[in-house]
Amino acid sequence: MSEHDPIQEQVGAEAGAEIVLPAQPLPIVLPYPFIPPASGLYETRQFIFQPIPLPTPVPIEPQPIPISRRQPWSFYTEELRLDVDGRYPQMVASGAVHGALVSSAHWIANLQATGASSWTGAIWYKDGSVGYTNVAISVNRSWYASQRTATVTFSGGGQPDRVRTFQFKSPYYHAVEFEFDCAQGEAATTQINTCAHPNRPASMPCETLSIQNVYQRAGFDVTISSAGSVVPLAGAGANARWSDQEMHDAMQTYWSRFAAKSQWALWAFFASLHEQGTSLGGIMFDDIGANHRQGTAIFNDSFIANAPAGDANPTAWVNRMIFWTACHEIGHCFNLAHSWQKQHPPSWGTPWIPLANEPEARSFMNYPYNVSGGQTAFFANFEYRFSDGELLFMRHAPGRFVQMGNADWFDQHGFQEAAVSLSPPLRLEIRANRERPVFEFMEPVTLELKLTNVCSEPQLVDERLLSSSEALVVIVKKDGKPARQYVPYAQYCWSADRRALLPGESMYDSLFISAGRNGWDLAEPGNYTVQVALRLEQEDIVSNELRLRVTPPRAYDEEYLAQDLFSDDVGRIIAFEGSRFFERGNDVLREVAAKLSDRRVALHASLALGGGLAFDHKQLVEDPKEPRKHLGIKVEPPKVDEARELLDAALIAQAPQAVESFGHVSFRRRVDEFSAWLAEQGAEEQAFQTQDALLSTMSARQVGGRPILPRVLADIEATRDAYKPGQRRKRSRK
Amino acid sequence: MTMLHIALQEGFYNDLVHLRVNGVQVYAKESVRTRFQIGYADACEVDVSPGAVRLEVLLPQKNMSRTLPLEISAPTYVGVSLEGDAIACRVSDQPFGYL
Repeated sequence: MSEHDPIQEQVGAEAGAEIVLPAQPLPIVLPYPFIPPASGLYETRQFIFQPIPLPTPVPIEPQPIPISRRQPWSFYTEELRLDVDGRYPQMVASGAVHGALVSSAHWIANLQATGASSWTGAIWYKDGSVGYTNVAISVNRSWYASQRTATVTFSGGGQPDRVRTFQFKSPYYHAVEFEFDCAQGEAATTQINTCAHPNRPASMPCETLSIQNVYQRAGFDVTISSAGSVVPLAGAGANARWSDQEMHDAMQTYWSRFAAKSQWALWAFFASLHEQGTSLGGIMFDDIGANHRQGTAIFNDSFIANAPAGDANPTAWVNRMIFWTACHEIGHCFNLAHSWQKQHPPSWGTPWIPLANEPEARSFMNYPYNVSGGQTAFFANFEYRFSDGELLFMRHAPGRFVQMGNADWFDQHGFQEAAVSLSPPLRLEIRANRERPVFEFMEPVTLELKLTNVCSEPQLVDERLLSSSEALVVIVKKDGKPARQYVPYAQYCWSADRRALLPGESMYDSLFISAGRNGWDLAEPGNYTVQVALRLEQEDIVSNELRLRVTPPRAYDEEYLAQDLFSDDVGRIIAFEGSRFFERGNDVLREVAAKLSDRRVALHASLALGGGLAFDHKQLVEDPKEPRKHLGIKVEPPKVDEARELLDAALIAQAPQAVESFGHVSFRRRVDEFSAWLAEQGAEEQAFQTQDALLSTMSARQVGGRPILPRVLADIEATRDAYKPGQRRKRSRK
Repeated sequence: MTMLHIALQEGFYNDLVHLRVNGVQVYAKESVRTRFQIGYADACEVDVSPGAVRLEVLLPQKNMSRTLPLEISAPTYVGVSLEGDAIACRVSDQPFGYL
């Protein structure tokens, strides 16, 4: 086994010890020559031990502390899902790493057998920190669960091999709980006799098949809640038909497991009719609120209760159709789309992997009456199963895509195929440099990026790497809405200027993400997740997920002004730090600065207005008096006094608020520019005072108990002192 | 008079949709959107005289349109879907069901 473990290095673990999982109940012993299956869920857990803090000052040389005396700080779990035998094998393995202190990672590989109990294959799907390209897997088969193990060797990707041994945990890939509730007077059809109807595959085994069996065969350890309820008809309102909202309300009241969070559990509700009428046989109604796909409904008196005229066994046909519908609707709770919806325009959302439509699939997710030959042809060779693509998704896609209440129904997923490494040399951090990542309503959101060299060798990076909109991919996701990629108004083309980032050294930049070419992606009140990927030549560096909140408007005047503020013109003025072209937008900013002077948005408005007035403004204009030269450059001079007043109001007058709202990096850059501009205007003394205000503001600033780095304060002090009378030096705007 | 049921089904995503029957606008709605879990967006029903009927489906914002000649003698159900750059129509004498 290789001693090199990038995951442990990534989290700074000092030592590791595998946990031996409790023995599983003995399986049913089948007579020789049956051999135990290899498929199922395997798991290993790894402790992360708390770093030993050194006393300060160090009185004596610290002594190593034996592992047994150290307290585990946390642990991470690494899972293997091996899918090579049993029901509907996909010849696939997938793995995931979870833990409070590690970045989650997920991989999927297609396998080929290399022996009776060994397989190898290439990793074709990566989500998170996965740099390897191949896996080789061997299993120890045994009828005793505690003796079953799988050993995985990860290789390729320019990294040393990594070997991990997993303990068998379950023959299923996930555990899930179903609860079946009925409206008053209705019954739940949760099982059928597969041979009750004569139209079926000739090879169909005759058995009593339950919904639980169907999903067990799909790879899930299904338990049925014993807390089934009868839901009073009063919940459906006066018309006794159920709307989506009424069913959602009923789910919250009557589902014993209801919680506003993601969990492997769902509620299936059997009722008479939806308010849409008999044309709706069932619906996964739960695309409401923040946790989708927790509830689904089947309508016993809809068209699915009408057997075709002349059918050989109408009762069996109806039972089968209601049963089939229940399995279909529950499939939507697992985020399965219809068979013909696998390919769709990007605007609908990004599929987790490219998929092909399966309009003729004999799957629970197809409509029986839409295939060639209609429902008769469908059921003639339907085997009560999902298609291979659907099984692949349910068994092996990242759990958050499948788990109920997690990813939104038809959600798109930003970094599904980032080319990331298990032990990246750089770490990217996105943060809001304030005690709590909470932004006032209308406050433009500026975040900070920090890129740190976390390996032992210097890394050559572009000086403007964090300013490059080509290298940065920024995803903004409001809770309950699809993720969106932030698209800045402009792309800058910088000359390449490489620098060495030494081990432990960081570089910083600010990121304005409220508005861009998509509009105001981050403006409405609510909770958001922001994540950034840095696209480098060899790999992608993916940041942490930053959760932030935009507070609701304080009063009606804010709501009213917001309608004008959240416009494309104003977004551009703020992004470009001033304009004299978008006069309507400037009017809005003037109104905001005047009426909301105690709110942080006023600082941003003043800065943008001042920035637009501080310098010569060149504009391409048409001159009708000059027929031979229609277009010309008109230069408007700066309005120095007005600009000075506005910039001072934005940056200095309320400096503690300004540094928090603009962020450390952006605030300092803007104050530096303001000082340089003042010096250019001959106001050296004011430039000195401005830098002095910057120094005192930054010196007093702490976030999470951490002060500003001393070298940063020293830089500011040196800049300030350069403006002292007698030390005047030529400065120019950066 | 006979019922003509027109169902907007797959592929609609915040679309402006106009429906005309024999040149008369019978439906105009913005932001028509398919609920993917049931493959259904919206529907309208009109009473028409038996015989030849011309159904026009227009999506002006996408510069898409389709004219469908129908011969109506009994209740008729037309399912309209967007499939790529095309408007697909399915005619049935049975009501559509959604799941």
